[in-house]
Amino acid sequence: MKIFVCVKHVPDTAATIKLAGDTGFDDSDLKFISNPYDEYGIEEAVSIVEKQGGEVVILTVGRAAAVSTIRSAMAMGAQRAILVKTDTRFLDPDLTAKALKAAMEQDGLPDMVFTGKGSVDTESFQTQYRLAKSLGLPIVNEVSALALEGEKVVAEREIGGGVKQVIEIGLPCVIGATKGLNEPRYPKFPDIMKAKKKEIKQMDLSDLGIDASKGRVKVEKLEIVPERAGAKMLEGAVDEQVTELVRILKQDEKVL
Amino acid sequence: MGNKNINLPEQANVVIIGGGIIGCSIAYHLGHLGCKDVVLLERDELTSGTTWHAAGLMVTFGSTSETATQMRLYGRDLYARLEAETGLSTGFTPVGFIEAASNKDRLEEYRRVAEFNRYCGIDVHEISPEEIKDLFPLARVDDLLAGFYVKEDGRVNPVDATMALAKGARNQGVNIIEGVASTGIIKKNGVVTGVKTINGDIRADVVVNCAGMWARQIGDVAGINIPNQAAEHYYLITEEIDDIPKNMPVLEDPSHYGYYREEVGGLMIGLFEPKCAPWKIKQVPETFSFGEIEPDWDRMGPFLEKAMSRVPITKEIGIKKFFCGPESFTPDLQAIIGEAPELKNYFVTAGLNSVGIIMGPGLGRMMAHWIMNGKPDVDITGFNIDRLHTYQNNPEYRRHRTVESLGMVYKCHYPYKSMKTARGAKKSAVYDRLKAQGAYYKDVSGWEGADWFAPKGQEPKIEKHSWGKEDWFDFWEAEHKAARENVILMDMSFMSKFMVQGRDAGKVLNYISANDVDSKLNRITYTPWLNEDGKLEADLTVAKLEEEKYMVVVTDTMHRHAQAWLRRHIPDGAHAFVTDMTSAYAQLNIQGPKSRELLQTITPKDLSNKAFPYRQAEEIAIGYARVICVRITYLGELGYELYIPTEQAVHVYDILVEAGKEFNLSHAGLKALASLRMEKGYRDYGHDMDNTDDPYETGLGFTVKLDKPSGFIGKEACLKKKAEGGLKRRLAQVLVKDPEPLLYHAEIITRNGKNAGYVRSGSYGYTLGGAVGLFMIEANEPIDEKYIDNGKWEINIAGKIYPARVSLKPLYDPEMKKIKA
Repeated sequence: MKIFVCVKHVPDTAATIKLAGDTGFDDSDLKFISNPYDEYGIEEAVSIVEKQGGEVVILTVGRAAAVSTIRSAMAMGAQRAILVKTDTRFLDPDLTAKALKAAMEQDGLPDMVFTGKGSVDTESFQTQYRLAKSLGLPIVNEVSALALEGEKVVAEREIGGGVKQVIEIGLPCVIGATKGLNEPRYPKFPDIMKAKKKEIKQMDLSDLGIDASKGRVKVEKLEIVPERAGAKMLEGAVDEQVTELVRILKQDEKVL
Repeated sequence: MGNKNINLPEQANVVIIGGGIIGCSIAYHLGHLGCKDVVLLERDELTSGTTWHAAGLMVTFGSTSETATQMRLYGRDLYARLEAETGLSTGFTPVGFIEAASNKDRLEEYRRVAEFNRYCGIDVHEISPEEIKDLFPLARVDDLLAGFYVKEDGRVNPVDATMALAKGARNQGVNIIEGVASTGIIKKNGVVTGVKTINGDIRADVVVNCAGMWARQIGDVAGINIPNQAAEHYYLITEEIDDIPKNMPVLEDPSHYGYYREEVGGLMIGLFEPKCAPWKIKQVPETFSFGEIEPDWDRMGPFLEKAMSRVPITKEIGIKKFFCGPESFTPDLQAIIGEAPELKNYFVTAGLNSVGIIMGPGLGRMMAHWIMNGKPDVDITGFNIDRLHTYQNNPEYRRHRTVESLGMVYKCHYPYKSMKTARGAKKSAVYDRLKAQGAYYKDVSGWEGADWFAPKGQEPKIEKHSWGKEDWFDFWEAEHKAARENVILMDMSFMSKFMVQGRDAGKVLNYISANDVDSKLNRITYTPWLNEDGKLEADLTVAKLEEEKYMVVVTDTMHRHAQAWLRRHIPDGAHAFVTDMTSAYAQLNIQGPKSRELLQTITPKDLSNKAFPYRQAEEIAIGYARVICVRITYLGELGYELYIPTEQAVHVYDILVEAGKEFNLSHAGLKALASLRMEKGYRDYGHDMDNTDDPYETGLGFTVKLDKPSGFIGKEACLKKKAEGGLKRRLAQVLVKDPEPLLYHAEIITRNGKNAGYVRSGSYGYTLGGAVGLFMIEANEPIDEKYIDNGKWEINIAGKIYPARVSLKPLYDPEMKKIKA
């Protein structure tokens, strides 16, 4: 079984982002991590290969600094990695999907592909669909439970209102992972040290014949989301707090 | 710019910049001392700089500084009782603390520390490796020799502790304002008068810079030298361990670079790697809040592996987090504390070298006291901001020195260890000459100081440090004996020299000095400078070279303190001007019974006892040079200090060495200086006496001229002290009768089996035949010769008891026959 996991190098969700210019941000003191949803994919892929044999290849399209993120993905148990380098901070999802596809074709097509359900930085929710379409593979996104039965994949996803949808597809396929799929492992120290020696094949976007400037989406302007107004702490006995809360909801906020 | 919702007060008594543990602790203590008009400005949120990611160890064991140890004890006590006062828990849990010793030298160090810490009131127990295992079952103990266990120590939650202090401060009326950054200060005539902020100015009587790793930058804006530097600092948190033993103490093993404690069911490993990485040398970003640094696995991997090997299970479980955050470190690993010498009423408390949580409460208490009373009430000579120099603020210096400073935390603190980085900053004019003579150099306030000389054919290096006699012990002895029996040359160019000139120079100096320094022309006088409380601010010599020209010479560590004290005590309108002449003169010492004979061969000046008596200070001719020759000694022999224009120093040195051949002149280093002066009982400010001592207690009563018509600063306090009669504190010499053990600092002296004091500084008395030190006897009765004679004196060195001899009079040449010969 050969599994690709597409991992994105994103700013830490806890970090404070400082904008630089209209369409950029200052990353000099910013900590970057693996896109958290991708980690469910890594864990799932590594578990499958641990049981069935094969290899997990981490595939990243991103800046050269993404190597640190790739190393932590490999510390979780992936065998090797490919980094398609681009200086562009916001690469169009269409181009990203094209780059992922081209890199897979060059390396040898997979039996399975994992992505996150979306990335926490741009939240476009497109790449995995475009990738699946271009590879001609079925896709299930937002997968929170997965069973592999021979060539059959049973994927479970939440569709709102507490309802779960169970979809059965065949291999090869693309799975967009989300919370609940598993509990990603914390890497152990020896695995972290071993990951340093694992292969990361690096290439430029242009090596795959892709021109970063030919994207179909252009970032015009970035703005910081305005902070929400201050929270109000209610004090006193529980009864008083509840009475006050109902009053606020009715009179001040007029939501009841 | 600025936050529109904030109304800043226009005026405050004290403005504190920085809302970490230090700023909040100072605010809390100022509030409790009744200083109601206090404003604390935090640029972002409380704790957002360094405090939020501190590990929160609350350890009392480990320091041989009485001041620091008392602060640690106070801190533990305050953290334990703050909840009762404020309703907010500090998270203090007394899980206990173990310092592990993994080799013989560490064991020696911790035994010395333990004896001293017990003296200070810490209940520390030496425990066996098996006992360590019982307390901390996850540790590997097969290679450990012992542990030092303090049951009452433990940990706090740094954020909770800060919030509790902040609440306690607010309860006392302190105004804590978040989201307002200070952008500068306002000053007038060398005094701070306010703070500029993004929201406008606040007039203030006192400003306190507690800005942690930003302190240097904030200081730069105000023209204040605060050379601290942020560095990467790491800890690691593992995932949960099944059935983790309950209530494990904090375990620390410096030889494995780590400390270990339970953290939400897993373990935390904190690291002090031997070589660290400074972070943001140019500038720490102003908006860096609750910030993390990308960990450098490549650099840290080997250190981490070693740290984990102490608690092997950590390698077998997942790592939840490898955290890297910046903390600030200083050139000598002491905090930067006190009133800036550049600016009156501008205080600094920063550069905590990873012990901010431990020291926060004690420093807050001390600083509040200092701000309210104008003077600190504890010995601050070791961490006073004015010990630091501006060159240490250079990026290049910080880049090099910081690499070593974090690691120093966990090194074995051998007594003769010198910092190895950022060396060669200052070299005396005869540096190369002395090097050719085999000098072993150490760092002396940034100067390369010749410590001892290797004999011809041997390389001056220390192969291995030790707590016992090191390889060069015999070379030191030879230099010591040459000074006692023959004649030596010693380079002390690092001494700080100031020329004070003008029509009022004598008057000004005489008012600052307790001794009469303005009597005879061409006379040098040793004098303390006292504050209004009659406590010592400095000790130094004043040489009256001309009617309106005086040379003040003070020890290197007190350079900026003495300079600021002098400058601040020249009255407005007085015709007196101070010039720093340290770089202008080299200082070569020719000392020993043959010194006169030798000097006489190279100068036409009559140096006979009659023509050039003890304390004479006069310009003489040597070769082509004019040299200020002063007959005085700091090592207890007939001898001379030569102040030579720097550019003529090599010329004069060569003449001295050439003429010295006939007299078998030896070179001697600073180790010999230390041993010679210690035998004679000469004091060294900042080592064996400090700002909490007065001249009578330290045996310097002879320098206090109460009948001097001009009066002097501290006279009233001295009169009062003298009227009180019998002294219950007195500085005395102690000699170990066994010639083997060595004294360094903090060894405990007992009288009739009861604690009497601890060695403030120690050396080896080759002439007296054993280790010798100076210590302050503290008693409940007047201390006199009878008190000394009636006592059975012993000294505790690393847990072993040795018979000792104690004396109030110098053990060497008490009648000064040698000096006046």
